[in-house]
Amino acid sequence: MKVTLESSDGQVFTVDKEVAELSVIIKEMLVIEQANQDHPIPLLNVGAVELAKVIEYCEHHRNDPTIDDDEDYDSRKKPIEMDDWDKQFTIVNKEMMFELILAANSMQVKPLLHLGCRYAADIVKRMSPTEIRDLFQIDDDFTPEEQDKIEWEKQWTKL
Amino acid sequence: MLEVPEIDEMICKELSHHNLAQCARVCKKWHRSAIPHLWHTLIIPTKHQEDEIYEHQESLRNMALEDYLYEQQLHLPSEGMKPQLSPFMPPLAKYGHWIRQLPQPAVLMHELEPPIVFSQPLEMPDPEITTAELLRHVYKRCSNLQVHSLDVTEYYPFGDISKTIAEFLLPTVRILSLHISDPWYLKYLLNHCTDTLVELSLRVNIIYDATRNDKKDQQLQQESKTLESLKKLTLEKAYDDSESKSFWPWLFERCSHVERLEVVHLGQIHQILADNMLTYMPNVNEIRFGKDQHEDYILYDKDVATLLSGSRQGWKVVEFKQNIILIFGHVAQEALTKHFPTLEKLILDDRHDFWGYDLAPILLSSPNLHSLTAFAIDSLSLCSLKTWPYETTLRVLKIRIVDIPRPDLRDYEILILRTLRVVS
Repeated sequence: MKVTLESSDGQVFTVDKEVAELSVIIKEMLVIEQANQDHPIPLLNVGAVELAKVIEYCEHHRNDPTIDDDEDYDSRKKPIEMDDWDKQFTIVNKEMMFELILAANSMQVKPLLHLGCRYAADIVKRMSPTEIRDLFQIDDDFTPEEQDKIEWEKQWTKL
Repeated sequence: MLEVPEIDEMICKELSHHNLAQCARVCKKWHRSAIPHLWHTLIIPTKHQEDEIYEHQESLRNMALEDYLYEQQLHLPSEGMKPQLSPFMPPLAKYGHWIRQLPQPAVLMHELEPPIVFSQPLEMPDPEITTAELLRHVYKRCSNLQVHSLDVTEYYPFGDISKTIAEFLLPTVRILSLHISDPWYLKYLLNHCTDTLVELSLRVNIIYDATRNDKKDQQLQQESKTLESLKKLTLEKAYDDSESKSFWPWLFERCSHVERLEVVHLGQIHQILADNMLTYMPNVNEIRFGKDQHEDYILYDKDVATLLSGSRQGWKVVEFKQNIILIFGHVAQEALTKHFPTLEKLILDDRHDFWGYDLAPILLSSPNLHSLTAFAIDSLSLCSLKTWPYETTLRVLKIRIVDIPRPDLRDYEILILRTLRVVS
């Protein structure tokens, strides 16, 4: 069975139902709107470029066993396996990846969300605060007094 | 970081303590995201970092002291008496509520003790506070601790510490291990456990009666309440040389929901345990003798029999770990035979002195048996067992056979083939 999805900028994608159902949101929508399947499902927060990429991911992972709803998922305890395909998949620029994380979050594609978060964490690792600020174009908005406080707290946080 | 709280949370979970400390210094938003994760677990450095150990040790102690003084200062009346402190709110006061996990109390105590050598002069005034009081202060600040498992040993000064543990840790503990021999403290601590307690493990060596403190003891006796969620009781060491042996009825009365009992080293209290199990533990139906990776010890025939007689509804699971040198005679065998009707799982790990116990009676009279692990010397008896009435209920059959006589190999093949069918 096919399902049609519409991106925020009006592009329509047709995919297999089981592929679309990797998104928890779409799965729930399909249950509610069973009778009304001729209309495409609107995804108001996801642009066409990102949606295409999400679909590409879901196509590849269509047969993966579903992860249990992991309320307290903690990667420190059980790292998710990342295969070669996933590694290839994440070779995109970081803006694209962050858009993808947001898309995965709004569509609730859990494995992609985990993958993206690990990617984001890998970027941040091995970087100093200054380097992070440059990369993300963040302003250092600490007041001098707050800076002092952080310097002072630093002695405890390295515990 | 991406300004969606759920996503930031997931990213933070991928980061190490060091990474998080870096992130917290990027900007205000990142600081807010990273702080809860940075303080989630208080890590004590491991011993191999010896050069830094003093620094770290003082660091944790200083953090607690700083915080303690800060709190004292709030209550001091006059300006002139206030000690000279940093103008900032100490981290424990500020972030203590984020801390979910702390090291075991014994480790924490060690870290909070005054250093033997001061590597650098203290910047703050040295307050008169005992280590036990400091420990209490730390726990008080960590108002949202999630105590998963807790080990309590009897260290000095135990009176103050036990009160702290009872107040701050026991109300949420799930797995509790007590290595205490004073029955009064045992009762005191167990009285403060709640319905969160699922597993209890004891290492006790009671040498006197708990009656030395009559008034207090009576009070403890009256506060009788069942530990509703307690399902597993482990007696790693249970010696009792007291005359009354009154601790065990007191304990078992509270363990009325226990289903699984694990015993390792028991003094001569098997009969008392069995009697109390019959009286107070109607649901107990799993028993394990011995423990993984433990030194060998000898288990006597009649003691096994005595403990096996303690289940009111019959044992479903009976396990003997492999480090037991079982002197398993006909008394224990007979006691086990009585439980064949209820038996679902029997594990006799290898190297037991299982002396060619004929497995046929077990297979023939246990209609509910789905798992059997055993060690058969008298392998011929097995071969004679071509069929048995309950073979369809059996799911797992592991038998280590010693000394297969070659001419009989064919019979073994038949047995193994049939077993495979059963397992599949």
